[in-house]
Amino acid sequence: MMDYLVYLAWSIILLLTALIMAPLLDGVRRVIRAKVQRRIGPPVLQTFYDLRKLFGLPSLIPYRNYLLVLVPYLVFFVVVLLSILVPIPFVISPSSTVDIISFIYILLFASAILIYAALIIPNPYSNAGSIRELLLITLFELFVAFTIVGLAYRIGTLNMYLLGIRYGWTEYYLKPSTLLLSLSLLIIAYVEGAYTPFDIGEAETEVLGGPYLEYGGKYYGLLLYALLIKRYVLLALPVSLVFVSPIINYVADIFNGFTLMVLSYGLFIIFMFLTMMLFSVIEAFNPRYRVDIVYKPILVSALIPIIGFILGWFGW
Amino acid sequence: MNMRKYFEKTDKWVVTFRYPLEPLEPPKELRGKPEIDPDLCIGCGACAQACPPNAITVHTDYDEGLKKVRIFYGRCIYCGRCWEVCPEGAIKLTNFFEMATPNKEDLVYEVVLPLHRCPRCGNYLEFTERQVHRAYTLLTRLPEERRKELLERMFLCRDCRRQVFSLEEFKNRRRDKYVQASQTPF
Amino acid sequence: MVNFWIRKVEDLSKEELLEIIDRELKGLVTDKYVPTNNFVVYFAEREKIPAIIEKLMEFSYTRLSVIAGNDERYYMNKLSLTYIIAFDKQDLYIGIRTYLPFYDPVAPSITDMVKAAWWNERENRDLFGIEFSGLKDKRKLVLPEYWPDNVHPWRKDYPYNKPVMDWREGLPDYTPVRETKDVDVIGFGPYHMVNDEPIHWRLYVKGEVIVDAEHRGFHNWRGIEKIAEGRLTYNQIPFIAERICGICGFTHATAYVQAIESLARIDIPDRARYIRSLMLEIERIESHLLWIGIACHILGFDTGFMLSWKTREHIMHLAEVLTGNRKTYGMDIVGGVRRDVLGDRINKAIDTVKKIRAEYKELYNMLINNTILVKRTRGVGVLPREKAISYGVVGPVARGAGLDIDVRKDHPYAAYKELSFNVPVYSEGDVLAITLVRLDEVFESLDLIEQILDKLPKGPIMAEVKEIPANKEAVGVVEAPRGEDIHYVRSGEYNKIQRWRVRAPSYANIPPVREMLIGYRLADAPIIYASVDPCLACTERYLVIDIETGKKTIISDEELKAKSRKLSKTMG
Repeated sequence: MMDYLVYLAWSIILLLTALIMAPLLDGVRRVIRAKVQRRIGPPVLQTFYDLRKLFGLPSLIPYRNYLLVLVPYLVFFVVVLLSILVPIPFVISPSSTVDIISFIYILLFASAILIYAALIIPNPYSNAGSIRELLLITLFELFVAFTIVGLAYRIGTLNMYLLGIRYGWTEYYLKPSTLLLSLSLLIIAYVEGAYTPFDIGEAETEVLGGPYLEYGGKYYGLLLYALLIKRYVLLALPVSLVFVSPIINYVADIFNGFTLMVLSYGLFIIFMFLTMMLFSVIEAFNPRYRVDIVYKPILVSALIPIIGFILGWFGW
Repeated sequence: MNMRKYFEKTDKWVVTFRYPLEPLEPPKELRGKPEIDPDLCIGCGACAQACPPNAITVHTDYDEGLKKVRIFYGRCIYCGRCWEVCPEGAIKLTNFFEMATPNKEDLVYEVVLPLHRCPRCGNYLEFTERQVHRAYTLLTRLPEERRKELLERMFLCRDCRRQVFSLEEFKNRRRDKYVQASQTPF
Repeated sequence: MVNFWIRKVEDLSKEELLEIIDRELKGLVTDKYVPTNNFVVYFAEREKIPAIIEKLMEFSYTRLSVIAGNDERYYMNKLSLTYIIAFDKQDLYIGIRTYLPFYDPVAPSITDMVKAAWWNERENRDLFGIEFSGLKDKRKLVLPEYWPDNVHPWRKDYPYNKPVMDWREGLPDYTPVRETKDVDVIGFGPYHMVNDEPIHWRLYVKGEVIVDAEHRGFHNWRGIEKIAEGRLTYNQIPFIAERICGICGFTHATAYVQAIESLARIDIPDRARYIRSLMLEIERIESHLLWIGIACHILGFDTGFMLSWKTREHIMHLAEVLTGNRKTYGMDIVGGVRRDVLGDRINKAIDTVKKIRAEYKELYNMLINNTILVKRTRGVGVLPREKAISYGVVGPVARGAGLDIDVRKDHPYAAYKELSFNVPVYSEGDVLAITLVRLDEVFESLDLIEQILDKLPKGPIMAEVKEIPANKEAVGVVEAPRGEDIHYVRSGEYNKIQRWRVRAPSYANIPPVREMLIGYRLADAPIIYASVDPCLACTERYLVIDIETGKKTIISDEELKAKSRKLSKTMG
């Protein structure tokens, strides 16, 4: 009974964290980007104001197809579900019930709904944007696949919770293979999150509006919120595995269960902000790739997880 | 954040200002809103002639005896031609630039000057009192005898001037012709 | 067919070239007269025009600048056309004038030979009613589609303040020109995030590759030439000329006053010439920095956009201190300039130039070393040299295609004869070449400003102007940041203008964009179009009338599958 209560409590906490942190992280991203560009920039809470405005605007139904109204709700629901499954080391959350392959699968499911819905709409802009996004995801799968396989092989488990705990153990963490895989995880968070070099699908200054084009008002607000939570989830994975896990494991013997959970959660929040600031600085200095010149960097960079996996095979 | 202060301290990292929330002082050379000094304007209308978009108009109202110099800032292009041609230096461009307003009536400024009245017949001339006075101050530079002659005429309206002096001229000429005719041999 | 530029005459002087031209055109022209020292007008019968143009375009470094129509029915019962051809290495403009009887205003079309005549002929057809036999493109250029066919606004009996008809009286059914099964139509504009000004491009694509493009512009047409003839005196026109464009306004004002000073034989003081050059170079820097920011923004590099516009703020502040306004300088008047550069403003200008040079060097290095930017612009949107000559492109677009032309060196005006500077020329013809031309020109402009401030002569800033003689014509040319800006002015009576024809550089640079788009990807369309640096406000100078009703085609299932199949074919 106690276990279920703890699960429930942490599920609610994680849900609220996602809902509040996602726009906050976006605000931090915008402020840092503005400071890099030497201007004052918006206030940190600006994304909340934007979402509030969007929910107040009249909503447009995409191209007279009422079925498409379901899409924002579906995507939002899926992504919110994912946010509960985020692994934070030693925090008793539903992440212990899921493995990493299902996690990635549900993530792609959210993107897929959006893309296929946009392909139904007879608008050449959203079609072209969806096709580009589809292309990017397809190309990137090689990278993601090798990362998952490498991690699973190296750490010895597919379960998200156990991955979170064992990742920071010294016999796993300080090996070259794990370091390469850590880098791969961060790259996955960056590319799948569609930060600037890779926001090809939505390139609005290049004739397109991407898959979000035909939605307006509260549907677009929901989709934007869903994108922000997806970025949060993608970022949470490397942060809790690569940054929080080793520190928590180092101090695991000093504190007891409850304090450890709170400490872990606190570290998680702090490192989320720090990593987002790093991503924002990287994003500010990169123009956008074009869909035909992006495939070479992506395919070549797949070498990183491949080498990580091979090194892990040999035990390094 | 004063603009002048920024350009002196060039090692400041963030270069944007919080402009509507903080005041911004423009450089003094900025060509902003033109302002007419109602004490100096004589109502000559040179600014209205020079203004390219016809933002300045001059309207003469003979019923009330007023001349209205009206400037409509909605058409003003802030070129400064009015400033160049004004003989009195009454219209100047300030460096005020925040002209946005939701009411069009705020953008109209009118200088109302009384017209000069003819002392003989009581009709209004198309010149203002100040224009006539200005002409008077210019004429004081003339020699004595000419000045006296002109002073008799310059405050009258055209019709009165014509009546008074042409009639006299005609009478004088008729008298001269009569004198001339009576002096001929036959 | 014309063999462009086969007779090399760039080493000859003006007099020698004029002798050769006189000889060549002996049987074809009827008369000649010389209005100013760089403008020679030949009169010819209308049938001889194609032969004359063909002969003249064979000389090297020539270009058809503009075809100016005029309504001379008040003087001689005829409509006239003046073909103005530039000879860039001899500082010469040759005008060929024909007169067309008012009952039969037909002239032969030269669009097949010289592509630069394409828009000029369509415009004269709209505005004057002059038909061109052999012109296949009978669409209206500057007027909307529903404008009645026999009403020609630029004729003298059409008053400048006549109210236009209500646009709701008839909206056209705009059907696309070509529609095949596997070709997709993507409309781009008039309202789109990239455009600062409304323009409509129809891009016919197969997958991601553009196979054809169609252009429909002139949505913001204002009627400036007619207003100038109708209600402005010659000294009020520089102010409206400045408002033709939001970025290159001062070039238009300067070109106009140069034309008037040329036809009235006014010599302006030296200090005025130097101050004009100073303001022109300031305008060039701020225009190029603006363009660099826009190009970065289109490519998704917002940091470059912010940093280049930050550098631009220094120049805007300098302009405000020197002239009173950040953009509409209001400095030009016939006979000189209105404001002097006095006191410590010269020192302020020198300090600003130093500051900008330091910041701009950093920006330049950052942009050149950014591999993604270079990859996205190399080999994209190439304009071959023959096409560049035929369309008569000017400015950085021409210099990026290997044509070494610059009005400041070829037809010197203001103080440029006494200043020394380089003209950057690259020969690849792609967007990267054009970008590099613009980046280098900023350095040259900074050097020029320092030279001008160093050599600024003392003296008055305005010459006395008594009266403008009636019925004289002249051509005023200035190098705008986008290319050659040419104004053809003919003076009228009572100190007003009889005809004023403005041909902004974008008018010559936008027609070849269609050729530059074909064969490249959809994602490159905005950067190719932006590489021309379209200043649509300059190009479209006539009255606002309607909103374009674009139609999008509905793509069916089979077409979509065919498209994605084609895409994977091109990718693999």
